[in-house]
Amino acid sequence: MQMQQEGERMVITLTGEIDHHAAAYLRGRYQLLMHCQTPRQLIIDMQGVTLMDSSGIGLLIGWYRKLEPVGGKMMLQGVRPQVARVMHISGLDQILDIQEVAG
Amino acid sequence: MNTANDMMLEVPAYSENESFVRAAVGAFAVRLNPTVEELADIKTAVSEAMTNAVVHAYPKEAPGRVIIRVRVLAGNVLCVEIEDNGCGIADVEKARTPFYTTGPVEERAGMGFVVMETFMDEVEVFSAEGRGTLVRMIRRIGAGE
Repeated sequence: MQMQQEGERMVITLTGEIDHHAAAYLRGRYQLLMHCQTPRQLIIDMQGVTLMDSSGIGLLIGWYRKLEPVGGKMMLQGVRPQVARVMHISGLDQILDIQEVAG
Repeated sequence: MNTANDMMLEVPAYSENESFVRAAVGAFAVRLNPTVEELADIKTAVSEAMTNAVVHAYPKEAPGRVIIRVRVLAGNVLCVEIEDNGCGIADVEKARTPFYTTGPVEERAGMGFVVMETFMDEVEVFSAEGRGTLVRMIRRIGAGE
């Protein structure tokens, strides 16, 4: 997990496989990152995510729920087809802007 | 291809074993010559079933064992069973309902069984309270060809 901030815009880059174990780690990292700052625009770059199960959906919904009440916007970019399928099944695409890439 | 081929794994219900179990099942499934998408479907479904065992079957302070059985069936079919001897599921039908979860809402999407059902051809759940849960998943490889 890497973070890059430009003003009120923050980009978090995720890589690898996001399961329940990885989600717990990422949740902790996110809390540390957001302890002192809340971005107006949060972009999650998922080009390097090769597999994600529903634990990853829970993780992303959790981040969205923290951001949305304070007026922050969150979007997902570079989402691979397999990961996008899990997002479509769960309805995540109904609440978040998701930009997919070819496999 | 020997259709009688099978394997069995037994691991503690630790979250760090989730990636190992899906990788092992994926490596076994490769001999059926799946597409990249089929393999990812299987690994994702296995990840969900293994996670359910890790999160729900046992008390956090006393994680038990998870048994994974994989068989090749006739017709290029993969059968994966994930079994625990934990607390069991009181109401399996309710547990299979989308968005239903007994875990923290901000962590659990309640979509585990829905993902398994979407990515596999058949999903059966056998459970008894106080005795454990067995999830059996079937996937035909090459069905889309």
